[in-house]
Amino acid sequence: MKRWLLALSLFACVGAFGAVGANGAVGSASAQDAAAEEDPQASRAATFRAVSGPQAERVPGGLLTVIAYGGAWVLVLGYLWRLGRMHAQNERELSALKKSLESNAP
Amino acid sequence: MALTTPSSAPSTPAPRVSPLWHALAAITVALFLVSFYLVFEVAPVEEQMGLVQKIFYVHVPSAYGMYVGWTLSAVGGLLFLWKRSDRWDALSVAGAEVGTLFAAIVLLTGPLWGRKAWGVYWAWDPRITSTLLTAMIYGSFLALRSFGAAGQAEKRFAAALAIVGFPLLFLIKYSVQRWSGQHPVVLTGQGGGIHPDMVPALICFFLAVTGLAIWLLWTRIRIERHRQEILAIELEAARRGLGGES
Repeated sequence: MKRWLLALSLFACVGAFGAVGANGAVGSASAQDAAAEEDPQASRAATFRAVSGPQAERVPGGLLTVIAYGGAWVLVLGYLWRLGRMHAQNERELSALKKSLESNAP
Repeated sequence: MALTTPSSAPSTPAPRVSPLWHALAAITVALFLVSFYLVFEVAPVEEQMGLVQKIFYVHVPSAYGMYVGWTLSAVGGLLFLWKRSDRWDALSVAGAEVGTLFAAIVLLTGPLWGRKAWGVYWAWDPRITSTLLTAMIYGSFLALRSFGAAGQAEKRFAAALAIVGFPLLFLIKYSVQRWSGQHPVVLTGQGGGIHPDMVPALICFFLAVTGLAIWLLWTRIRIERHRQEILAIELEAARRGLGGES
């Protein structure tokens, strides 16, 4: 009797895991990674992913913040550089204009 | 326009920069230093989002700088079409450039925050989409004006673009209320607001961005006015048959 119960339990477990696996509810790690990279929003709605290792978060907030502030300063400094170039071009044109007027003096 | 005579041209003094311009630059730098201290040392880390929430302090004031720049561009464009004075054209160009600079900061920092908060860099939310659309309009303004010396037709067309882009600022502002979307609304009175300890950092950043926006507009207008004056002298010289090489 015990042997029958053990065999039935084993069969039920295999069947249950097989059914879940066939429906795709448990995906392999590589399949989950591929789905997550393809469409993170859809992946989040369709897949529950386990945290692996001591890291609790995959998205590094500190790095994103550094990139945001660094990028903002790069844009501002880039614009200042552009303003400097425009000013220098004005100076060059003014200088060329003065020389040209001098050379055409009667 | 009175043309500088050859004998007096070499002694023309360089235009003086106002001491106020230097003072504003110094105050703006100081405000940014204080802002960074307040953002990273004083303001608390947000419970849900952690460090990435600190992007908020540069994102929101930059959006305000974007509104200021583009509004001045539209005002300059309107007054240029009315008065046909180059000084209003200079304001329109400066406003479009400064507004687009701040829009670039907004469109850079927003997705970086969204990556953490939403899981994606970009969402076709009404406010984000309308901001991108407006940036494209003012971007086309700048593209049009970047084709060398602008004639009257280009200036008028650019002024019209600046005016066309202006109503979209209201679309950006009210799109969240009208079509909801997923953009945060913590400062609109609809959400729970921000923690009181976060307020000083935000106010200081607003002041710093205001100083930067005014300083950049001032500098850009000066450069544009000088360029307009040089072009006018060149045209006058060419008309009188002087300085053909320039």
